[in-house]
Amino acid sequence: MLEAFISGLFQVFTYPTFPVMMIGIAVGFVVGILPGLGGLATLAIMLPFVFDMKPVEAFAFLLGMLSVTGTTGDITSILFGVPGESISAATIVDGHPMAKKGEAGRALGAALMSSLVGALLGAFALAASIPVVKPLVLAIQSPEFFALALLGITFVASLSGTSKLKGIVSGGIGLMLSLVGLDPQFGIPRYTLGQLGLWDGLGLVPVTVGLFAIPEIVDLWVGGTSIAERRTGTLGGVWQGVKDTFIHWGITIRCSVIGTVIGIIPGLGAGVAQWMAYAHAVQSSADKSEFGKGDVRGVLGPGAANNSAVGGALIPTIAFGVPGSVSMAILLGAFLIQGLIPGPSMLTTHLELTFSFVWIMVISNIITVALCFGFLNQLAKITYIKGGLLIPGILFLVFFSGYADSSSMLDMLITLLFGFVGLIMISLDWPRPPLILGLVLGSLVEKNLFISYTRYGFTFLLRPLVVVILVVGCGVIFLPMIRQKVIGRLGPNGARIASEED
Amino acid sequence: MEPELRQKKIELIFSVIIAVGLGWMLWEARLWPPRTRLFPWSIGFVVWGLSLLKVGLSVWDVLGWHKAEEMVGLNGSRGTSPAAESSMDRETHLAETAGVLAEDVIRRRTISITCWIIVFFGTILLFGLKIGSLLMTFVFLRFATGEGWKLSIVLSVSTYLFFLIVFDLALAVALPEGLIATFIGVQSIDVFIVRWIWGML
Repeated sequence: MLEAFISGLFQVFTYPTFPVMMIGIAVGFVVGILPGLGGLATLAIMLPFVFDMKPVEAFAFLLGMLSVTGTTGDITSILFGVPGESISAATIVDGHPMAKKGEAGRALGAALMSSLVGALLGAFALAASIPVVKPLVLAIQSPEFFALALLGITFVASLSGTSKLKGIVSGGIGLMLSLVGLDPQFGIPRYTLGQLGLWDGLGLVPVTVGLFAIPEIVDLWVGGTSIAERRTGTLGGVWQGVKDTFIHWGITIRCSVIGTVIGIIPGLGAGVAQWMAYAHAVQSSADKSEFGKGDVRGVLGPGAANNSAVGGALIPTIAFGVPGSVSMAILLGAFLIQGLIPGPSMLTTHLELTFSFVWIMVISNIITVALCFGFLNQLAKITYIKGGLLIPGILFLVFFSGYADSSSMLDMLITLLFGFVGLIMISLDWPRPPLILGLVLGSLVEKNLFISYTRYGFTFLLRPLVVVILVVGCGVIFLPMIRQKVIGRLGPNGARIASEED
Repeated sequence: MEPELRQKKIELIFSVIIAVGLGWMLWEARLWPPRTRLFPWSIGFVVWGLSLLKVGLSVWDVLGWHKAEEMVGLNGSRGTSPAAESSMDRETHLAETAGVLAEDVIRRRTISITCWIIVFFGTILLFGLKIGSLLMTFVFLRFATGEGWKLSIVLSVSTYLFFLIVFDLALAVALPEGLIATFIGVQSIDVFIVRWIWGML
């Protein structure tokens, strides 16, 4: 196995594999930075290019591209408050406020370094799980999916900040909005207002972009300044961001693990992973007061998770041909084009190729992060340009992002409407992240609840893994309360120690 | 009206809108088959109940403010609600960063940019994204921010070329072309420019 592992590395550095991977990285870099252009669509567009390539070249090209989109997507999220990729939307919540405080460099440094750590951990998980992954993936069925989605919803309270009731109602609204579209069981239109465009439901991108980006544009205009309202001496310190990744190493590692595990589970993917990682970062921190206002821990969590999820999603794709996410489903097409059948043969006959996937992810992320660090300070300077000059460009990117999700003007209108909703929510102190989490998880909860109940009745709640996940969920809800009470009894000294531990 | 009371009243209106919206969603579900409405009702009633609780608390807040006003009289000071604090935080934050901004300035600017955003959307709807970006970037820079003619023209043409070259020509993304193009029966308003650039390439 070690031989195959090393051989996989050498395969990446052969000609023309390495140049092809560099082209893939360049495409992924641009796609990641540009809002509205998703890695998913680009992967599909690039698929025909791999017909004449050898397997390792094809995957160097496609995987190299896919694994860097999340990393560079964070750059747009931080600088403009518009998600470069749908999987980097959670980075906006704290990343953009950091840019507004003049800490764009620090936020970018933290996002890139945590992305690298996440990608490395995801790749490591892929390498390490190859011999043991089968029982894990087979153990996850619809009841466990349901329990995992419920676990995600328990994070709503953590995302609610000081106003718990508003946060929970906001999460509930997200769940209700997730019901818009065709009923998954009988195909009956629900809350579609007679619009064909709503049959697929409310797109995550238009809603997220509207809720987060439009209020930022309004703030930029009202403030009459640049994005960075305050100048800091060294553009907020890229190196400080890098150091933050290791100062808060617990959050970085745990969120990478969350990303990997969620990536492994087919049907969830990085879009869910980023929000659960963000919620975990908030929930596990003693001092939550700065979250949403520019806390670097809120950048580290999603940054690590959305990258590690790629490695995680590859595991069931390679081992069983069960795609962990939509992008993996497209990648599965590349397997078929190359005449490869995912499954046991990938772990025996084609083991070198499988290990080359691990190396492609590692190398492409290292190259991307190194390239980004080369001109981060120049990128961060964008935040010092007069706001009025940036508003038209950002506004068109916002509308384009909303439109590009499904090439529909209705989605652009949804972006606009949710922009105003976001504006009202901010001014009335209603938290926005729970709404997004509810929207992401709602359809998963419903679908899996229905399948679980149809197959097992209510006994599905007694399955061992379901019980374990639900117990963890209870822990997520009650442990912070217990901790708070314990700290309260210990007094100020205890609170200080708890904060230091955190 | 005092800013804090106004904030509480807006909060109440928003809470009522949410409660009514959720109520409508539950009402709408009554006609669906039981299995289709099972999930909307099982979570919807809980969320609706919580939203009604929020309405109740907001009403309590508004009434409580009036009572506190009577009790405190002239020399009293009241605590502020989180929403009011948030709004004040935003105003203080804006004041810190852009000099001291009066409340009416903030309101006026918010209304003006909101109108601009709607105009941007309307222009895209009519002229499409590329031509819309050309027109609105120029109009906004020249008339809203007061930039010079030269800078306004350069930036608006740059924005147009960015969308044209990157998204339309290089990546072949289907951009919205606008109602006018559909009405006059052409693929896009700038179809001749696109053909000319393709010819050049």
